[in-house]
Amino acid sequence: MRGRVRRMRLVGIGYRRPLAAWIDQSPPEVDCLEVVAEHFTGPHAGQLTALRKRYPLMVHGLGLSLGTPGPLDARRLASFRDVVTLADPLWVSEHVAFTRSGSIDLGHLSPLRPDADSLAVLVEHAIEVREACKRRLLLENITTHLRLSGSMSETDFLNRACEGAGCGLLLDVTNVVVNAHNHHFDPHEWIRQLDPRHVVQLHIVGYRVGESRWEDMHADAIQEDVLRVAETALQHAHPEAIIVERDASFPPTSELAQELETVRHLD
Amino acid sequence: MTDIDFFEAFARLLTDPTLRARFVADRAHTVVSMCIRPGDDAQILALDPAGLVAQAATLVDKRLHEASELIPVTWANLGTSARPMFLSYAEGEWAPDAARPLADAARFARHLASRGDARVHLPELHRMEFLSRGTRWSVRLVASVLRGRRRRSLDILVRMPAGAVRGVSLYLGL
Repeated sequence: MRGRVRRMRLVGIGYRRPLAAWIDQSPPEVDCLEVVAEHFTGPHAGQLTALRKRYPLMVHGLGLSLGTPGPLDARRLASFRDVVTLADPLWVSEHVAFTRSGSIDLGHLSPLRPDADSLAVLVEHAIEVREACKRRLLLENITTHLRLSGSMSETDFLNRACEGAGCGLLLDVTNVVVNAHNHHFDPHEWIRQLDPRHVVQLHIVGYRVGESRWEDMHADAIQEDVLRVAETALQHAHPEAIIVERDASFPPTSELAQELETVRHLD
Repeated sequence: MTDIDFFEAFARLLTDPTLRARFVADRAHTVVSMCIRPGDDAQILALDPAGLVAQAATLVDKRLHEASELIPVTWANLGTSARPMFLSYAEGEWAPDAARPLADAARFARHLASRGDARVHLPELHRMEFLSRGTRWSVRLVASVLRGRRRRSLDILVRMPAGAVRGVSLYLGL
């Protein structure tokens, strides 16, 4: 538990099964864990009890589809709430996105139009999730290959969503870097347009350089340019936690530990 | 016929490769043919075709990555054909499903097995189908390759009260 209580800012990692053996050893570089809600429904739910005894947890959702008009999927919300109950997290988070329409389940995140209609749906659903879980809810910016036009900028949309729903922001630094490259804007300036009071947590990981676009694969070491944008975020706001969000191509744990230490010493 | 909204139209374009190809070739006619709600049709018309294609590819790639981790033996057996075979399966398979990764892996393996593809590791298929269905237990006679030899086994999977899954394989004729 070295240093977990004293530090002002927690540094942790997204809990994934290939990391379980390492996490079991209580590596000193890990202050906290972020668990994906959908990974702990069903047969793996019992593991949360053991994890929460050893680490402060955050519960991260992928499939509530906060941006889809109409009621939230009651079954998914109930599953999410069950995971939150077991994990007893510091806070919960979901994406500013939609993952399904009326009849189609996309399975993953697609962008919302930054306009008043989307904002109203997002705010209503965010409040519903926050109240159902009785936890602080953070909204996360996503990567997208499609930039939808609307009546406001993406940063204005995020600021208004957080304000309207009484939520915080999970600022995914890598998503900003990837979008900035693919859509040709300045990631530092984008971050400075965010209301710093809302930024509670950062996500960070490396990006993948594709043939024509950069991809958010969660499978690469953190690059220097991502670290520089993270520094801008830390100079602009004062997040309470930073999570390294690696999903695949896991390096030796010594490299992950080093990456966590690098992130810890950003300022 | 009721007009569809922006989200439904967007989702159809992301999941239907034929419709997407028509959109890329001729946006205006495709949008008219989709019967989209007035106001939303202009938003769909404004979508960047290249971005749409890339976004659609990303959605399938995410599913591919999840499936490859859930059925690693089958994936390894398929070798370099795993990716094109999964893409061929996945582009036409978008059924609503709360347990998407498990169900996707199970459906893909079942899709191959139903075509007689011997590279499917049947114990994996059994496990994925069990996990995605949520039943209490499952028993199945399966054939698999063990230490280079094809074996038959009785695979038993049980969901424990706390949710953990226990499994045992009883090999026949060792």
